[in-house]
Amino acid sequence: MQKTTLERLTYGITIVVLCGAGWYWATQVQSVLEILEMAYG
Amino acid sequence: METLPFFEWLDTSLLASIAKSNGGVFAVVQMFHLLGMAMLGGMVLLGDLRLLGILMRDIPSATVIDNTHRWFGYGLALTLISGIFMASAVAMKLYYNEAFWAKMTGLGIGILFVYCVRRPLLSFEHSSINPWAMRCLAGTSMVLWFTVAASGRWIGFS
Repeated sequence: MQKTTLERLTYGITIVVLCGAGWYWATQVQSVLEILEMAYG
Repeated sequence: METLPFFEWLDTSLLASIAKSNGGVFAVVQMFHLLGMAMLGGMVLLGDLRLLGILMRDIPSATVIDNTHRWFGYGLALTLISGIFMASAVAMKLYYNEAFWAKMTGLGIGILFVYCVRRPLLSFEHSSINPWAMRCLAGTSMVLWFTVAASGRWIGFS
């Protein structure tokens, strides 16, 4: 693959990974907060 | 693709009976799994922090990347082989575990990213690569492998 294609692919993957990982960890933190709320009111 | 039959087969395989009945063997394999992860994570951090210009600035980034990539491969192989053995002991539990699938998804994307994007792009002269592409490459790599490692740890809590 050409360098510019790989660079563009990198930008695209960066956006997808940041959004995906951000969403995943946000849901995990939210579930932990819900457990803490249930435990300690 | 239905993966349940594979997990059912793994749960009753010879590998699973060895893993379930020999605590000592399981512990030794787990030690190799952790060693592989440490190697893999260490190489990812070394390479990516060098690409960001934070570590080892006096050594050419191509040299650091070439060396860390080789050891990254060894770490990955060690982690995968020991991971299959460990997974066989709790195959059905893992099948219904959300964190396990998050880890596997991250691992799949991570491997594709390293061998189909990161490695081919870094085979070009580093000074000719757009600095923003380099930053994105390093940042994405660290986020991906952090997610793989952290979701792996998360399996134990979920």
